Amino acid sequence: MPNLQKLQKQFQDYICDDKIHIRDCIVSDIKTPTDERLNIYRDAYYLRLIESLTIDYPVLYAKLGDKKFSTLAHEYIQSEPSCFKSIRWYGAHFCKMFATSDFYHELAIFEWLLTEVFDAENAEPVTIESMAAIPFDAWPTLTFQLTPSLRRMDFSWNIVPVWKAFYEKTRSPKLKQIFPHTPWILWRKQLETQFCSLPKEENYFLDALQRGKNFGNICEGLSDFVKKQEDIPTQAAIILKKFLDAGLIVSFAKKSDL
Amino acid sequence: MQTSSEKKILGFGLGLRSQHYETILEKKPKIDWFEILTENYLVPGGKPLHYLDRIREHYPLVMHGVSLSIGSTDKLDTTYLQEVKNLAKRIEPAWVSDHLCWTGVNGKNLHDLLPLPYTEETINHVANRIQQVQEFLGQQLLIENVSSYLTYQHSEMTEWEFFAAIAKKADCLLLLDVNNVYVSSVNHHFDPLDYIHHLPVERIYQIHLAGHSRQGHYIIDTHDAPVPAEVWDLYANTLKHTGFVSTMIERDDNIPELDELLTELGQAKAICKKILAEEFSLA
Repeated sequence: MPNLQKLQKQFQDYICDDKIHIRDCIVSDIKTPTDERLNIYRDAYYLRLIESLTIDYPVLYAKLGDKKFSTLAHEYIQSEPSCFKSIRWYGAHFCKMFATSDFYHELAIFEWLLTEVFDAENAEPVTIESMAAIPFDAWPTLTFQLTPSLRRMDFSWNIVPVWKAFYEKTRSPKLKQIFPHTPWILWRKQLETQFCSLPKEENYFLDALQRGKNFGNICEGLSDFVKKQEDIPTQAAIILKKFLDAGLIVSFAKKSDL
Repeated sequence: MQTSSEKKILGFGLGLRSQHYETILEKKPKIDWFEILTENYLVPGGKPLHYLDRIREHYPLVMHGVSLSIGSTDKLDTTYLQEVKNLAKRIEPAWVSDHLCWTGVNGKNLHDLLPLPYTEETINHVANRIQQVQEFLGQQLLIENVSSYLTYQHSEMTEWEFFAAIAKKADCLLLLDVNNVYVSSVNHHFDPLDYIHHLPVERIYQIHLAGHSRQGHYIIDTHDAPVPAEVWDLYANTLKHTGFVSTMIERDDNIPELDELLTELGQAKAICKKILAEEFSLA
C-alpha cells in the first residue's frame, strides 16, 4: 500500500487528471463500485468550482448560457487548478479563456474587478475641509495617495450598458465596439462599489496622481486639455474636488512632509 | 499554549451568513453565538469585515475553517496560519476549529474535505501537525469529523477509533458533526451510536447539526436542507452520552430566512432540555 503522501497524490490525480492508480486502494462492493465512490469527489470538485465561477461572473454566465459557460469552466479548471486557500479567489484568471479583443474578455475583467473592489483594503477618504487648511504656497508640491480599492480599465466594447441592463432587467443593448477606447474606474466609497467613465482630462489627472506626480506638475500637464492657460487652476480644482467627493483620495503630503 | 481545564459552554448558535447580516444587526435576535467561516473573512476589507466587527460587538463568535488541510502531506501553510491568527486576534473567538481531512497536495486546493486513511501513520502525522498549529495559534484547536463516501483498503481501525486517538495524541478538542456521523454511518453501514459512544466526552466542545441529501446508494453531506428526523434522533442520543454541548445549525446552501433557522434552533433547545431533564435530572 502507498504511504500517505503517495496516496494523496494518487487521489488528487484521479480527481484532477483522470489517473486511476488510486482505485486499487479503495474498498468496493457490488452495490457501490470504486469509481462510483471516487466520482462523488470528482463531480463535487468540478461542481464546486463551476459554481464559484458562476457566482463571480453572473452576467458572463447569462450571456454565454449554461452549456458554453460550463464547457469553458471545465477547461479553466483543467488548465488552472486552484492554489488558493479561499475559493473566493479562484476565478481570478478566468478572463484568459477569451481572446483579448473579445467582448467576453472585457466583461470577465469587469466582473472580476467588481469582486476585487468589494473587499479591497479600507481607507478613510480625505475631506475637502482638511485640504482647505493647506497653505497656498504648499499646493504645487502636494502629492496624493489614491484609495487601495481603485481599479482601472479601458473598454473597447459597451460592457457597462450591457452589464447594467442585466441587473436592471431591461432589454440589453446590442454588443458594439467603441472607438476610441473609454477609460473606466471602479472603486469603493465606504462599503458601496462605484464605477464611472472618465473624460480624457480626468483620466490624465488620475493617471498623474497614481504615478505620484505633484499638483504643480499635474497642472502643467493639463495644458494639453485646457485651451486657455488661465483656466487651468480652475479646471484642476474642479477635477480634484470631484475626486475628493468620490472618496478616491485617501491621503496627501506636502514636500516638507516627505 | 492556552489549554482549557473547564469546558466552555456557549449555548445554541447559528452559522453566520451574509444574507442575515442586516437582520441580525437590526433585530438582535436571541442567539447565543455565531460560527463564522474563517476563509470568508481573510480579506483586506469591505463589507465582510465591517459586518463581522459590528456583529462581534453583540455576540460571541467561533471561527470555523475549511482550508487548514491538517491531514495533507504538504507543509503547513504559515501564511494562511498567520492570517487565521490575525483574524482571531481581531475578533477574539471562543475557539477555532477546522476539519479532520486533507484538501490537496503539491500546492493545490481541491476545496473539498477529503478523507484520510485510518492508520497509525496518519495518526502520528496529523497529531503532530495539530500540535504545531496549536502552538502557533496559542490555543487548543477543535477538530471536526467529516462525512465520507469511501474507505481505504489499508485503514487499520474504525473512524471513531482514529478520531479519538488523534484527539488524545494531539491533546486537541472535538467538534462533533452529528449529521456527518449519520451520513457516514449510512454510507459505510455502521451503527452511529458506536461512533458517538467511543468519543472522549470531555473533549467535545461543539456539535454541528445539518441536513443532507440522498443520491443513489449514498447520502451526501449537502448542508442545504433542514435537519432531518434521523439527525434529530441521533442528536438526542448523543446528548445522553455527552451531556450538554454547545450546539449550532449549519446551513451553507438554500439559506432560508433567519426566523426559519431560529425555529430549528428552538427544536435543538427543546430536545436538549428534555434529554437533560430525563438523563441528568437537569432542566
